[in-house]
Amino acid sequence: MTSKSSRARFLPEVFQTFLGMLPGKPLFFRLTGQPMTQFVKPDPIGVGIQYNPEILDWFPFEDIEVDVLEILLDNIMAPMDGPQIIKPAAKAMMERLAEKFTLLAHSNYGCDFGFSPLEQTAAVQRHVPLAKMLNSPWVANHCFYGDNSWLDIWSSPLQFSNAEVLRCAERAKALQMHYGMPLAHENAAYYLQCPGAEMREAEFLARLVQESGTFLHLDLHNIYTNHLNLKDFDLRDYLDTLPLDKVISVHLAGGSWHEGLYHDWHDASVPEPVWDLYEELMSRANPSAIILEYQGQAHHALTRVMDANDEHMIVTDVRRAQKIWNHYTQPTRELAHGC
Amino acid sequence: MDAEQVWKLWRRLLRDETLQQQLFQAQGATQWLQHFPEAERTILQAYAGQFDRVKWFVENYQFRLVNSFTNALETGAPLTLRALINIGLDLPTLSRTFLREQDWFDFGPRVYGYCDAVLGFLLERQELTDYPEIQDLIGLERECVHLYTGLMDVAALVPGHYQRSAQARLYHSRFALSHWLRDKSQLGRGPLEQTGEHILVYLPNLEARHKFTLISPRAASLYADLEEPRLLADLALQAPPNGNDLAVLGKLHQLNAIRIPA
Repeated sequence: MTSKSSRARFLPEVFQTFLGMLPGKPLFFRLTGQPMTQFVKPDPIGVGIQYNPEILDWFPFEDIEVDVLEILLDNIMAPMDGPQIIKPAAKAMMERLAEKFTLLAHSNYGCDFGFSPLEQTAAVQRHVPLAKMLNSPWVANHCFYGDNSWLDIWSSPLQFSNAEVLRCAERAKALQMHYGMPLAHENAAYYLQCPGAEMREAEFLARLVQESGTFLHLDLHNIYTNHLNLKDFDLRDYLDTLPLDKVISVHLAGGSWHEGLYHDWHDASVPEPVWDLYEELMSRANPSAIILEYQGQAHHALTRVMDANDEHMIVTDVRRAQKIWNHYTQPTRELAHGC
Repeated sequence: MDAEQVWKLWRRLLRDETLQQQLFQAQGATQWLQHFPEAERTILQAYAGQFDRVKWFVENYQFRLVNSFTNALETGAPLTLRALINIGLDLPTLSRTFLREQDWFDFGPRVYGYCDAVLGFLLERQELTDYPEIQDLIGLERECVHLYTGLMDVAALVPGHYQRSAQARLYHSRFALSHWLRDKSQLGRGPLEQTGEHILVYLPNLEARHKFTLISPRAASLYADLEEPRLLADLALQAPPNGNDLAVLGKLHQLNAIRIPA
């Protein structure tokens, strides 16, 4: 595992555009355009866990040996109709956690890909300053629609169309510039696709990051969930389609079956097929961090409510994730120890 | 299909219970869609074909919204929330009633506005008519919410004048709410003395959580006199201006309630 000081780097370069000849005027060349910032994937940090307030009353986040805590920006942000950026109580808490862990900013409800002006979104007005405040090496967001809203977002996956690739890529590119750090998009779990799709999700994400210069935050449990629930959603083909060098971070989680559907409720241990996907990904890519997710009844009353009895299950998952991580990221050290 | 149109229709479907029932009861049939414009019909047909999946999305949305009612109170009016819990009010049922009145509107990250709407709703509820002290507490915490929302659009200072700061608000209670403010385990429990208090809600600084403090009737009177910015000579100070009034003004200034000329 690398030091806590690992941070994103960016390489500024001048982007030159030829505007061309104006009719009736002398031929001339003109340099224009904005300085373009190209972000690069941070060095590997390690394995972490999502700091989820829903299990905060019983899970000992600050005692567990992890490299990273993923912070849900929506939980620490102050309301947008007030003057504050961060909730007063959250500020001191974040300062304390930052002394021990790398804090990773995770944006759920930013309305990043909605249709309202980007500058008016929670992403720009709250998540950007918060991510900077946390000194986060990168930030991840979600592939959902939302405008001045929060709770409809989880029910509103993006439309995988050609027009939306271009529109979302423009917003992603602009948002990454606001953040001033790599922006990675998380693939969503959903019960049905947004009508109007013209391509598969993996193809949409591949084109999105190609157009925008942004990155991917791959939720392996969401891929698994969609594979179980959606016709023609192929697990293997998914990884083959993505530019895996663009994967900055990874989510591992578990879920539950109810009424014939598998739900991404983060209320169980990581299932074996997700571990298999994780191994496969690690053998083919170099993500910067792996994050495990557990939560309470965020989405539905049927979600299993975890309690202190689940601490062992979570710690076991974390240890297994770390073992796999070490296997693929530390071959030199293993050799040095004669393994 | 235009993505924005799909999204707007989908959001309508998430909120409109009548439309949802039509879609669910049709069990995949699409005859009921005939009166919709063609573009909307095409979109709704796609959803009607997977109505069972739509149902999960809608259920999840409603579940999250019902919980958000409590979250809004926790954020803007935590004392009211504790008082309501302490008297055993059925918050999920109240939440559903409120949300149905709002057609399942998602207030999003404008949580103070959401909380203000919830507090207004609670003040009208039959369930609280026997709890005038809690209604009074709701009034106090509404001032707190207005304190935060009021800071989004602050009037410029008038040079050389005594004037109110946007970082404080004054609430005149009907009951001795200070008893509950001092002992939060008692919130909502037992009758309070029917003695009005002048409770100043203030922000020590813009990054801090608000605080409460009781101020004297004289301080409340001077604060009331500053509804408009005034020169010292125009303030209704006790004649002749004595040290006590100036000390009271100084204390209000220390509490961020007023600004005084340098």
